[in-house]
Amino acid sequence: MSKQSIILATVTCTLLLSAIAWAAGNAHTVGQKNKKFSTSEVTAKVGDRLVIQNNDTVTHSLFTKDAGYKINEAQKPGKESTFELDKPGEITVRCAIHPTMVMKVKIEEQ
Amino acid sequence: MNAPERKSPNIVNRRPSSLHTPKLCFLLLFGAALTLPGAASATKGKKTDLHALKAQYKRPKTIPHPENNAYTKERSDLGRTLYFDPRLSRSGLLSCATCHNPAFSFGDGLPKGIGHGMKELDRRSPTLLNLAWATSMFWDGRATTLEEQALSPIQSTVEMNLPLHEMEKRIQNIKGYAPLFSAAYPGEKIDRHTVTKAIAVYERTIVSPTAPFDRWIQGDESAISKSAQRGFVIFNTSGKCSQCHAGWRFTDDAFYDIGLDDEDLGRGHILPGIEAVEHAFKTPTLRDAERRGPFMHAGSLTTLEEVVEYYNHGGIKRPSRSEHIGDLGLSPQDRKDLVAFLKTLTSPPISTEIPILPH
Repeated sequence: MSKQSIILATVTCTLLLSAIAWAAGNAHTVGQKNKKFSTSEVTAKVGDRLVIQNNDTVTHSLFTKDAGYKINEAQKPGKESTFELDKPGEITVRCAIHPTMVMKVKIEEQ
Repeated sequence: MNAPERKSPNIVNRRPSSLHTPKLCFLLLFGAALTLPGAASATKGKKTDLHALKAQYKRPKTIPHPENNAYTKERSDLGRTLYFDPRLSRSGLLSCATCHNPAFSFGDGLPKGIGHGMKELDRRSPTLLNLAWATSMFWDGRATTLEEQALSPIQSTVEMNLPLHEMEKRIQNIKGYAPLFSAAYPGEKIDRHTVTKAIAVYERTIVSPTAPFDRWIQGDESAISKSAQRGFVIFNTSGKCSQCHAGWRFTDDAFYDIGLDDEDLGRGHILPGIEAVEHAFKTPTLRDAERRGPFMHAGSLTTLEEVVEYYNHGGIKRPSRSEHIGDLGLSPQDRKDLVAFLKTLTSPPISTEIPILPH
């Protein structure tokens, strides 16, 4: 096997393993309707994903700066955003426009 | 003194009892869905379920007071005394009531408030009507409770300009305050916490008395004109007003850029880097709007007609401007009806007893 082929195989394997690891993490899906999150608390593991859908008729503006996370995303109605939960900690996700929308996300170690 | 301070904080006792009249209750519960004549242009041919719309504007029966600062008459009386006491400002000239004057529906009637040294502030003084139900305070929402809010203007260098430790010393040195505090908060100190808690209790009693609109909601069909009734439908449909001015308080306590052309970033100042809230301000209540001009966060519009005309076009376009703002295409009659509706939100004045300040 040539050196190039070995490198290609290694890169492919790494990507494949990463994809498997990513896909293995759970997705926690949260909706937004009538200016409310569908749940006020989410408990997840590092490696999981937080999927936030805007099922509302108005734009929301998700944000948090907690525990090393930086979420700052305006979401028009019908849009969905996915955030990788790659660090442990507890974050509070809010809507900047509608301050009563508050959701705590606890990310535990694997 | 207004009724909730003097008696129980139960609003239902202060209101006409139309909702408790069996005949009217029957009509409200079982009457067929109504459509309003003349509202066709507002709804573009769609029928509007008036009963369903009206149900969204029913007033609550009691004032919500938090468990950790429950209502008592002693607390409310103390709060009202502090509210009118200009010694809470460095100059001794400004009290809470200076900018939130009961005679101006708890605003000040000026385009922008006047602070320490008679200097004009950046924003209009908002009314304190119905804040017991509010979930965010100030034009930019930088406080979430009345207890948190009340200390801010006292210590703000541009407003009352009195550091809190000095304020505490002043109030502690006024002997006449001691029995008022011990009656209101037995066993607690006279300090910033009890001062702000008492003011908050009083402020929660500032509730709009029943307006003609409320009587209409309760079933009195003659309480508001046909023009105002059409205006109500426009308000909830083609005018898009109720998207933000929602519910009986006519606010959703949320923050929007409505396209006014000024430099003030509003909520963008306290949440920097979030484009959606740049130039965004809290939706103000519309209760008593007729008495509370000039309007908008910096008093830039003088009359209700100007406000409605403004919204008909929606100001300047920019990335932060709310999706609710834009050309509405309201006819001159629609705009007239909207203004007629807004005037039905004017309540009888709240009778407020001016306290004798302790020495």
